[in-house]
Amino acid sequence: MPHAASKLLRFTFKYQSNSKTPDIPIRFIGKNGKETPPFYAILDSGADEISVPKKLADYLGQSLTPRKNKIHTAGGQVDAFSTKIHFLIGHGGREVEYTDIEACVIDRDMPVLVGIYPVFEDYDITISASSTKFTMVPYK
Amino acid sequence: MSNNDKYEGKWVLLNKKHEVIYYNDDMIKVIEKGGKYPKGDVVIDKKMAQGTCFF
Repeated sequence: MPHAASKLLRFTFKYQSNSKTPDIPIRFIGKNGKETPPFYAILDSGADEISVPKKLADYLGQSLTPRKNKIHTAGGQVDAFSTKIHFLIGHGGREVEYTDIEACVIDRDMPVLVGIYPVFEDYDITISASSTKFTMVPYK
Repeated sequence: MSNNDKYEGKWVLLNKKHEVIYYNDDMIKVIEKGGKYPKGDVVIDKKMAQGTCFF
């Protein structure tokens, strides 16, 4: 069973100009009803889950539960929290919705990261750095 | 200083042509500015220098 709350769609995304990372459009709907415009999030197969900066989680009115362990970063240790988020990936009217997804909230000014859970578990993702694009094919 | 340098580390609001139409250090200001545009017309990005460790 996919994690998505709506039908999975196949996507092909081009890298942004001057970008060397695969970026996926993602927008958020907060517990307080606030919605964000889409963000370019970094598709990160080295991350276990979705990670968002605490400032964004606070804006969305998310309840935060402190995590036992701090996150070790290049800039030192930072606090981490858990929350359940509601987001949509895609653009141009083609979006896939995810609700109540466990996410890591990090007290640092950082880009949104899309990790293994739930997106990589719903999709076969092929990244072609040479042609600066990536495709996301839903698991059957 | 190139435009890329100018936006390094900033949150930026991009239009459909991927041009920067607003930028700020504070992501909330960029979210709120982006909220004034029709859905699908803008996207938010954080400009990072090549090789930046974001974690």
